[in-house]
Amino acid sequence: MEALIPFALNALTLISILLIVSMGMAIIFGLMNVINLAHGEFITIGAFTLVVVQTLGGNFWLALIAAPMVGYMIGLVLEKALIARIYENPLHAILVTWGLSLILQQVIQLIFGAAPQSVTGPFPGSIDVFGVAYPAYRLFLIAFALATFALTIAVFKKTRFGLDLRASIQSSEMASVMGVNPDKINARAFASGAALAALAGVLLAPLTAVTAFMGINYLARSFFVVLIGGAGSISGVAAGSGLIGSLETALSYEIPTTVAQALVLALAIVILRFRPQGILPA
Amino acid sequence: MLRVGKLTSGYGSAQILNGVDFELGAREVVAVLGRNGVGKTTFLKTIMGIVRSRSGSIQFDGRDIAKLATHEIALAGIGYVPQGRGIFEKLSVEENLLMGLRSDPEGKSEVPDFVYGKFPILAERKDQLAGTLSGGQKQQLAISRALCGNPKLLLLDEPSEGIQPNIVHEIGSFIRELVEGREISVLIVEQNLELIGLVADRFEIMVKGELVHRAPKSELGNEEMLADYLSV
Repeated sequence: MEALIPFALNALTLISILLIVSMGMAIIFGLMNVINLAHGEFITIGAFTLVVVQTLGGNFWLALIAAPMVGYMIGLVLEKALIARIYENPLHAILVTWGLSLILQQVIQLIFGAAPQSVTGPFPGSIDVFGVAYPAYRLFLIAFALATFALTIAVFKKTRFGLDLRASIQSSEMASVMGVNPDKINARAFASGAALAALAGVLLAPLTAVTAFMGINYLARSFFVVLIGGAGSISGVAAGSGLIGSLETALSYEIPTTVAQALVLALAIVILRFRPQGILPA
Repeated sequence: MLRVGKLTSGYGSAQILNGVDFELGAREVVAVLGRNGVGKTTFLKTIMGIVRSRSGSIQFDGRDIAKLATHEIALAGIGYVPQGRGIFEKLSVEENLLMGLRSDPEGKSEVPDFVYGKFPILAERKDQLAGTLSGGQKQQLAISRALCGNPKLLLLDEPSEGIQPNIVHEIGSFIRELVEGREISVLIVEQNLELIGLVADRFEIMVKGELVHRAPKSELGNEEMLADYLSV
């Protein structure tokens, strides 16, 4: 029983990061049919926002507010300049976002150097969870990520933007017949996805080595979360994150992490073979 | 109200409309008939900007809308109910109607009373997913949704398709009521002669992407002429 608690919490940490990262990707994929291979770089951008804020003397909380804004702005500019021109052709979308990913990685490395940056999170020390000491920061991360997920669902279900988004995911053409400007919805959705990824980057940064390439680690996983869950479906994202996050954590206890990741992705391919529409499609 | 001149459009290398001339007055209901594949649906889609026009003009309310994007055309005051109805199946009935309000010039945010008054079933099922409605109910929802935006022109593509005869009647009398009750014109593409007889002031016949014959409603009884143009 006592061994289960850290496992469950470790799994939850990964699941909650995957939740936030994948949600953005799922919305972009569901809406525009664009697999954004540069999505991971927005995680990196979020983490480096924390680096910059801390270098300038600011604290973690400031970065937690600033990073989604930075992610949103950069996402908006890139969407208008690049992504908006390639929706029609999925192959172009893959090549362009992949190229964009490489460029962003190199630009970040040019600015900040190749050495890993170190950042500090709030809440050093541990908290007792049912008799097991567990890092307080990770508990905060889980709670914050779940709250963000709940808030995103609320925006999706209850707001005007959320309704436009859900309608456009079902039929962009009918949404524009209703008077919704598809360019505007696409831009805002893409930028919101980027903002969520950047937020995940800040949350992740204190737990990992912050380098220009840290986002790649999450790209494949969140891509499979989206595919397994079902494109454009928020409940699918929850199911996919839960499955991939807990499996990977469980396997990592027995075998090297990289092998565990490979196994999980292999399993994802098997699942998609039998259920190509995902577990809970939109 | 609507004035279309020498309109051409199509998909890729296939030209479908080959110079359509058409006029629709205020509070007029005009039906377009024709065999399958002559371009009736493309005609409506081109007015709506879903299929881009290649040449010719589309004047609506004195304004050239041929180059506008679909959402701008919707905001200009044209409501469109496509073939197959275009319902958002995974939104609730009410959410579908709320989407219809997006093109309301006054920016209203609540479903107008007349919708639920006219179709009480939509009020009863407003929290249900629209995909669970029957074909006739979906058609009621689709027309109501288009009316939520308070359009000056309504484009209907085969509203009778897949619907029971008694509901066709109901929809026909509803369209007639609309035109008499408010400032709206209707352009309807339809195969069902009975529905055309119910709602239309006159009709035009499309052959190979052109409107070739215009006639008053009384000519609907001229079976020889109809057989000439419409029989396969």
